[in-house]
Amino acid sequence: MFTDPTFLFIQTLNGLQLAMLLFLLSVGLSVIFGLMNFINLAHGTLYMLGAYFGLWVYVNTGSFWVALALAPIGVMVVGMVFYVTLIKRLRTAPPLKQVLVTFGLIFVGLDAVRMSWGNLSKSIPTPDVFSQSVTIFGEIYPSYRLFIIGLGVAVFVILYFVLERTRIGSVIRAGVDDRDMVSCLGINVDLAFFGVFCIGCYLAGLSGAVAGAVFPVEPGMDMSILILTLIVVVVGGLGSLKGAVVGSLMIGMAETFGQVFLPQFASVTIYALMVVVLLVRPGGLFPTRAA
Amino acid sequence: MKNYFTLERVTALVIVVSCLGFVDFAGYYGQELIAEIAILAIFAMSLDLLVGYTGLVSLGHAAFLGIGAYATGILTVHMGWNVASSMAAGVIMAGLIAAIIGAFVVRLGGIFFIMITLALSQMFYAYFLKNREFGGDDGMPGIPRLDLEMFGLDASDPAIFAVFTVIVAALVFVLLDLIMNSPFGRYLLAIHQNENRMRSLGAPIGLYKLAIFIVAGMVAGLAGSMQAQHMGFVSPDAMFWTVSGIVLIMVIVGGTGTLVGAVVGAAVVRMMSHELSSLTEYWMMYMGLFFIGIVLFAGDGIYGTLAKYWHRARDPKAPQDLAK
Amino acid sequence: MLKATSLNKSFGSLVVTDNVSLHVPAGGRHAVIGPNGAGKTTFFNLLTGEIKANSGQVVIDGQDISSASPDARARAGLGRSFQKNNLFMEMTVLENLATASAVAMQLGKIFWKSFQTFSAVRQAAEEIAGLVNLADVLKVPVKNLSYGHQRQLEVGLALATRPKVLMLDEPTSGMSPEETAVMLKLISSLPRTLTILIIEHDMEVVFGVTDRITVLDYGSVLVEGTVEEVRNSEIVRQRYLGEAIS
Repeated sequence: MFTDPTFLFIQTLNGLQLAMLLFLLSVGLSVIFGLMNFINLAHGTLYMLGAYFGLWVYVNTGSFWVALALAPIGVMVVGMVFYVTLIKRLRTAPPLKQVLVTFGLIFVGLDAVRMSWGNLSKSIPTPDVFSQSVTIFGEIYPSYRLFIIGLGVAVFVILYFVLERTRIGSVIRAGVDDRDMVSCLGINVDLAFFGVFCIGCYLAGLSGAVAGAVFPVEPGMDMSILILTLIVVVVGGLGSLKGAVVGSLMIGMAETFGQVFLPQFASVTIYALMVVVLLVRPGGLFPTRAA
Repeated sequence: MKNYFTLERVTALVIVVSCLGFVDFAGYYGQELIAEIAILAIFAMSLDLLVGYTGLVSLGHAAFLGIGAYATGILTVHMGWNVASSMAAGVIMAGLIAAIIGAFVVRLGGIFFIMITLALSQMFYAYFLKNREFGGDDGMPGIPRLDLEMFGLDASDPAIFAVFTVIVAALVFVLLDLIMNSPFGRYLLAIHQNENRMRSLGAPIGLYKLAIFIVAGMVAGLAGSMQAQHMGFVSPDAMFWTVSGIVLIMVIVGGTGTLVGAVVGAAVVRMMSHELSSLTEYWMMYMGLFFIGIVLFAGDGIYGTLAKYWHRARDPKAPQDLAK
Repeated sequence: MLKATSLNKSFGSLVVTDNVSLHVPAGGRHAVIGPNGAGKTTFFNLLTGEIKANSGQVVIDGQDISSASPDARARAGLGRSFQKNNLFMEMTVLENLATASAVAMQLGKIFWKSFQTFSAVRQAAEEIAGLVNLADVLKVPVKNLSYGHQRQLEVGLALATRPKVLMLDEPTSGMSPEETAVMLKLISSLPRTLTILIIEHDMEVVFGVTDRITVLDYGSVLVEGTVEEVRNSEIVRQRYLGEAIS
């Protein structure tokens, strides 16, 4: 069965689907690092919040699409509050302090979710449009997963267009390359940071809301995804869109195929990949600057 | 010039003496608490070597605690070793794994260091979670305590075991205090303050970081072995990220860069979490908020802040926050 | 004592150091000058190993250190100061110098004896403090020092490594005229046996303290010669000195 092309194709789709979720998370984490030189360890918490907000909206409105539209915005609002109350006042503090604060927030987020929604695992039902499975090469495949892949590609295309083709994109790229330079260009750096931070939070929330219909929505989902996301940015290189894409694809595939082919070592495959990449290229595959 | 009675050493002595004095009256619950705090203090001191002295913030230190605990568990329960040799093996094993991990994380530093230590510790967690042979997520019961019969003592008596852990913690303090006040320790402090300058002065900084990473791993392994004996049990939870997180909270709450700070942090956080968890199921949230507050408003931690006031009160003219 | 041969460095298509060679004999006082952006600091970093050269050779006292790490080069006898103060800000002056002296004595492997008991370290540190006029402020934390004193300590740290070649990267940068005068006096008072390589963008500064000068321009050597030769060189006058001397 392992050499069956159909089986491999299905697994590839599964890998792609995970990769797209990871991409939505890692791109925000990575670009925020590039601009602001800090890692938001509570990024996984935002993902979890996205899933729970989605669930909550779904339960109250009965519509998956409303949930998908509102949950990321809700997460973004949480991110804004967090930015204004904590991150902003830490702008001049050493990066470590910011990382530690976001680390403390993981604990807060975890218990806040347990408090509001309990410890039990829940899920968001897939919308009717995607309730049917499609048949690919004679194999049945849930169409919702194809939707996730499509969504990831769409977000990538939009981000690529914005970053490469627009003025605001060139400002962000310049900021990642040389933080000091942007402030010399007469650009409101704080506003640019804030904007990028919000988009990063939005994408994390989107990722969570989308994932809520595939993976169980439960406390602890934040950490498992955070670890994967961290590995993605470490492998891909911090600060680059390219790194986020390539890293997500590698880790998504390695995780999926690892589970299938090496179940005993599944938990170790991606770490082994990370170690190998780091030994060859300590800054990741596409670093924007020396780490 | 030489001052053996530093504030830190005196404070440590007071803590040790009061713990030993307290054991007698403490009753079962208090004795268990003392043992637990002493073990956590060893663990926190080991992390402080990295975070406070060398500036390497590890979010995966629980991996070494777990390795020490599992080594003791596996060797005593599965292989029939005696506890003393299994303790030594746990310390050595933790040191070996620290050497392997350290060899490539110390080159990275900064934020990469934080992310990779966190990720790698979860790898160990995932490994033991899946490994049926060592009990998987149920863990491994039946781990014996060190045989103290040669001293005519019974380690299963909670009072005896509490005294034993306090003495081990005190010995660890003395050893680490010696190390951190040596030229080697001075190198680490200097690397923390200005790595680039240290390199251009001629110090191979990677080697020194690796050395302290190994020492920290070994001491954490010792704490793990003690914890396994104390609870008679080890499970993958010992290496879960929250354990690394809580011990980092301890170090920062107590005050980084001093061993006593780590001890104070261990005691305060352990007692706080006990009190909080009896009040609410969601104690980790309050712990997280408390931690954020300390990071934001009291960067020196409890001991660090008190020590600053003490020094200022004793010598108002002295320039503030002198390096030790 | 210090010999660099055909050092090259480029970042992508940008050539920042182009075939630069230099020879400083024992006890020599050599300056590398050039306008901002001439590649002086890059050249310095190639010598100290902070940047890896694409090609070329660096030899100190007969020992080839071309592929050695920065710390190994320091141990081989290259002691450098930095253009921007690069000190142990949380320590006192004495602690700074003691740390550097301990590194010079390679004491780092000793973990069983208190650092305070090494009287040789303290002596060495006090001696260096005397050399760089900081004997009066030994117990002052570096962050409370005046800028001029910090610059002196910057040189002191480099001296404390007991270098064969002392490399000073714009030691007077950012200094007032008075502070500059103090620094120049300090440099000329260093033992004549010490080999010194100094980077400056201000020519006036180096005329008094050096005997040979290399002028860098766009990453390559424009002129090399004695102070007199450089001062009188037509091309240097045209390209660079014109405004500096008048």
